[in-house]
Amino acid sequence: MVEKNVIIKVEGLEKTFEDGKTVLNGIDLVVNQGEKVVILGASGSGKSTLLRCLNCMEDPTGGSIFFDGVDLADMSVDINVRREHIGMVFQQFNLFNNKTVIENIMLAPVHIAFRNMRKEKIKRFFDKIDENAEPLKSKKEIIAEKKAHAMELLRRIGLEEKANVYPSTLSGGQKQRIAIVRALAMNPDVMLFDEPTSALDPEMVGEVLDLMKQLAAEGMTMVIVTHEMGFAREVADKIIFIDEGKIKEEGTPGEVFGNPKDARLKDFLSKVL
Amino acid sequence: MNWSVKWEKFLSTMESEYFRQLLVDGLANTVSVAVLGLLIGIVIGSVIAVVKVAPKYNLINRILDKICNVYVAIFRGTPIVVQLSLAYYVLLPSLGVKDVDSLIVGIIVFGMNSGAYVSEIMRGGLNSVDSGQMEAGRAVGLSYSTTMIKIVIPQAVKNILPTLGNEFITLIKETSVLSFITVYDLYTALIDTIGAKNYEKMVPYLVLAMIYIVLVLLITLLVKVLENIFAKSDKKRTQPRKAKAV
Repeated sequence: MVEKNVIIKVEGLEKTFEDGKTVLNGIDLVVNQGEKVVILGASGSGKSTLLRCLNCMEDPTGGSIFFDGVDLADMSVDINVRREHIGMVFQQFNLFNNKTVIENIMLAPVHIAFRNMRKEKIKRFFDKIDENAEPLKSKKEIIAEKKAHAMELLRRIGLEEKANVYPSTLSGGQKQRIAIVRALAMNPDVMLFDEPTSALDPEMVGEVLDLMKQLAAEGMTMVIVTHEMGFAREVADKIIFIDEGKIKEEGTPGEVFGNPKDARLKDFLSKVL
Repeated sequence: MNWSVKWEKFLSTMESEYFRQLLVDGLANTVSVAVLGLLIGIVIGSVIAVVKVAPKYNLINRILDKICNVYVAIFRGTPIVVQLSLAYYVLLPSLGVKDVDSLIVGIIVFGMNSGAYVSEIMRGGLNSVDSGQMEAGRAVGLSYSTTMIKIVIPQAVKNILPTLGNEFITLIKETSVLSFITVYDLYTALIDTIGAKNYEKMVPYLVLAMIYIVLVLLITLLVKVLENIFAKSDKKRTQPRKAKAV
């Protein structure tokens, strides 16, 4: 059997909030390249906290999260650089309200490309070794390139005519699809979805799930917290059920939905299915 | 009391190019202290507000927080006249600084004073921005400060514009105490110079009040215009509403 590339490896993850409440209590989890992991759990079980720990939106209080060979739980790691490779989609969309749609998508890629360009300039200035290195792109070229990429992403979701409007003029479904392509614009290695359809009107859930299914079919590695059981059954390679800060059950959709063993999982499924 | 005589006296004084120029100088000084003071205040206030809302994980942040508390306590806790006098008559001479333009001292002191007030306004503005905005910025790999500058502060400024306009209005009126440190402002020009010429100050006082009212009305208008510009991201409609069919 071919060894799969591990994208994220979580070991003994713990999270205790400042008020002393322990939400995660020793989570072990491996996410392989191209794998779709769906996290299930009742409200308050810690499933969103687990997801938010994966890119350190919540700093873990114990354990390790290995991504790209480094432990993100180590506070000396430059988390911003790692987050460029971890896309995140929020329940409340969180589009930048003061930026137009296209600016929302371009902002981080352009900013990070500028920063890398400055770093490269400084590097080249100090060790004038590589004289045949290709010339650095100008700021104009970077902007043009990122803008073309952003427009391509917008075309893909059929919203290119919305490029220059502000988020407040959009429907929830449109906002969430733009939030997804905003994360995609960074070409992430993995995408985290924190209940992406929970804040949507029912008629808009479909368009967002369709886009997520497309991403899944293209081989994107995804970790998804959701209440959409049909979607989980269809897309997931692996389902984990969290209760009281621990993984109570883990398996393929067939195993978890067809033959649940844990009593809490049975109870949970009987309520949501 | 004969108003027409007093008014005549005032007008005849103002016929002289010399006195008109004095009035313009006074007005220019008043406006420049208020405008530059507000700009300095916004910069200082933003820095303090960001320090105050920043997470206090490390020691440096906690120390900065304490320094900001002391700063705000001092500048909000003492009258501006006392601050101006202390700076100009106590602090600068004791530091051995000579020949400082009192106008510069006025601008800096008003700026620092305004910074203390703006910091509180700004803090409210920063807190009014949804925390999801910061999270979204961090999630795409932007640093805390980049997200603050590009995403959170612009939205905060939009929310606090009316209050900031209020601060500007307060500031331009408070500049009337600049004469305490010999700045040639509107008050000095009208009362101490033009009024003193004929030993008649009743009309100058009235004119002074009217000029301040006009200045404040202009600021109110400016704030409205700015609000409209900043509100563009709130507008639901991109096209004008169609006329109702009859």
